[in-house]
Amino acid sequence: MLEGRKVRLRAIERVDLPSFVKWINDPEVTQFLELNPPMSMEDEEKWFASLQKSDDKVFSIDTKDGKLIGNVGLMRLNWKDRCVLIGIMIGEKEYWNRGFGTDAIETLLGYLFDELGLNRVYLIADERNVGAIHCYEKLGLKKEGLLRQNRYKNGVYTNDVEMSLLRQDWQEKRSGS
Amino acid sequence: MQSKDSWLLHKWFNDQRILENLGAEHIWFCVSMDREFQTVDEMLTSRTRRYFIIQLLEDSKDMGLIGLDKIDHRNASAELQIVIGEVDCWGKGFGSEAIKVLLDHAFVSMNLHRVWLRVADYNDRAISCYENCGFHLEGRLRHDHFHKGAFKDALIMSILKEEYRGCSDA
Repeated sequence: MLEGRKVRLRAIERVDLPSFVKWINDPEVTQFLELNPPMSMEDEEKWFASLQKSDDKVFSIDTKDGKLIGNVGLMRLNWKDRCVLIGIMIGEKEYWNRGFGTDAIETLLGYLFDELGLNRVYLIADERNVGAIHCYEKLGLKKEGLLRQNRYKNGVYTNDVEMSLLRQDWQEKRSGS
Repeated sequence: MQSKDSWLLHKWFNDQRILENLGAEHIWFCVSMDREFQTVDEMLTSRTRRYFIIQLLEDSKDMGLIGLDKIDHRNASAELQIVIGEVDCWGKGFGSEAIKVLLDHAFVSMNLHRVWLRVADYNDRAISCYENCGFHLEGRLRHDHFHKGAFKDALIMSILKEEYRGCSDA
């Protein structure tokens, strides 16, 4: 369990899956995410089973009073290069734009840099998802490139932005604040 | 290292002169060829082990085994294992050279932070070789193993990435 200021990150459990399915099938939640609904409960159970055998890792995001509001995950963890790709979904829409996602990512970054000793954490965001990009920039992530027409969604090719935070950025940020 | 190198390991680990100073790592003691094939298969498939055969440059003669074991990817550390299996290759600095090449691989290619080893405290030749390669003594395992009728100590030595440069310049 990783404690943040507004949220805690905990292991995902099978009982969380119905909430995930509900969020993934809400077009407003996934409009900028790399998820392709419709997805069934069975799809989700297969994904959960595959996760148990993988280096990928997903945490459920709970508010401090125990309400499940989203999840955040690690993919392509590479120990030699000491880098990892992260992704986040806040599924409960009343928690949008209130700092819950920011706190979840900041908590995760602390774990990745200070406990796992990683050197680079990166993510890929839809260029149109300006709210999310603003949140990542607030956390110190830097835009490092545009992936042109990286994704096809709702009838159009869309650009993605790749952003990253390096260990040295994280240490500077912490010694500064 | 490949499966066919099992023959070399079988030969070396059935030679009492080789086993004498290894600190009773007797998992390797007098094993049959079948068992040696199994051992090598495990060494080749494991994500936490990486072994190489040491060859002489001038004639590609196989002289020993070196590798990293118990590779801890999260903490970037691993245990060094080395055996010079051909007795006529002892005392010529081949072990030190092989260790330097392996450390280069560990720190420069694999991005490890710490390489450690265990050595029998009566194996003076090995200890001075490790010191020469830049390893620091960090602890003593009291009565670590039973050898020649008594419990003997073993030492733990290590080298960190930031210490490694000094060694390659030497």
